Amino acid sequence: MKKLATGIVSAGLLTMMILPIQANDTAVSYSQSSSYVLSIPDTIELNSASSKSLAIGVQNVNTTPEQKVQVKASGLTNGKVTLTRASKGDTIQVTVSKTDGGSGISDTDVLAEFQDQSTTAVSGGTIWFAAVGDVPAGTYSGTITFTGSYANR
Amino acid sequence: MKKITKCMLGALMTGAMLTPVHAEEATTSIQYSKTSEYTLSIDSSVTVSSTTETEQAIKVSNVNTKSNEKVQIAIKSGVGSNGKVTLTRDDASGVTTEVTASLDKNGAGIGANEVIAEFEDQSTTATKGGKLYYSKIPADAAAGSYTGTIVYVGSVVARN
Repeated sequence: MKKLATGIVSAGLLTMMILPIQANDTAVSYSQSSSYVLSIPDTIELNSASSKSLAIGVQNVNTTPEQKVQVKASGLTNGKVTLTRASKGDTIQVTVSKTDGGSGISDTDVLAEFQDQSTTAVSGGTIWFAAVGDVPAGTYSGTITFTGSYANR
Repeated sequence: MKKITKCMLGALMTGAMLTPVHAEEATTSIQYSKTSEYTLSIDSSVTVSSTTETEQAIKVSNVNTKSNEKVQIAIKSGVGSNGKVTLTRDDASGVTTEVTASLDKNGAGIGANEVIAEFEDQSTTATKGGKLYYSKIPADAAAGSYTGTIVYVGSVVARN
């Protein structure tokens, strides 16, 4: 009887050991948010007789597949940047456009778009300053502020 | 253990999603410099008289100076001491006569390197000088045609 019982217990243990191990899945996740750094020259010297271009660039751009980077400008009035003459305070205005000789841009115009890991603009990427023309002699300066932000594609 | 792992992953994912939206600004200074410029506009010839003083305008065109600069016009050559201008008779005889150039009517002869006109900003109206006066030819001048040459020089200088 004892032997029989031992045999039954052994068979039971053996059966249990032969049972397959149950699968235990683990979800591994990671989320990398979009990032970029604006790369735009901090100064540009305009010309009296011909237009001048300014490259709107980014560095280290890395966006999710759903996002893109948009760059816009502020500091313009009716598409023109105001330059003030040193010492005198009088001003001149120069048209800023998305194409050479084009119409002035507004604060809502997207000047450049970048996406994925490419620093090549998918749209825009260059703005143009019109020729200054004949103005009173002197040194003029003004400022444009560029802002980058994410938008859905 | 499985529950703990899931909680940790969930916390990590939530942390990533809460990262603030990145917005960046860059500023570009727009600059332009226009240098001072002008064009001398002085008659290439003037005929003096034996009976009256002769006036000549010293002018510029397209003047455009910086607010801290001005255009000065002076005599480079052709006027001697005490403002005397020598005119030589055209017949190669070597006969000469002279007139006096001054800044004022019937005034004294101009000095060496004296500024005869100044202009500034965008105005062609002289802020100083602007005219030369030539005295009458001496009554005892020998008959004939005489010529002389005065060379003017303009320069941009700082305003005082």
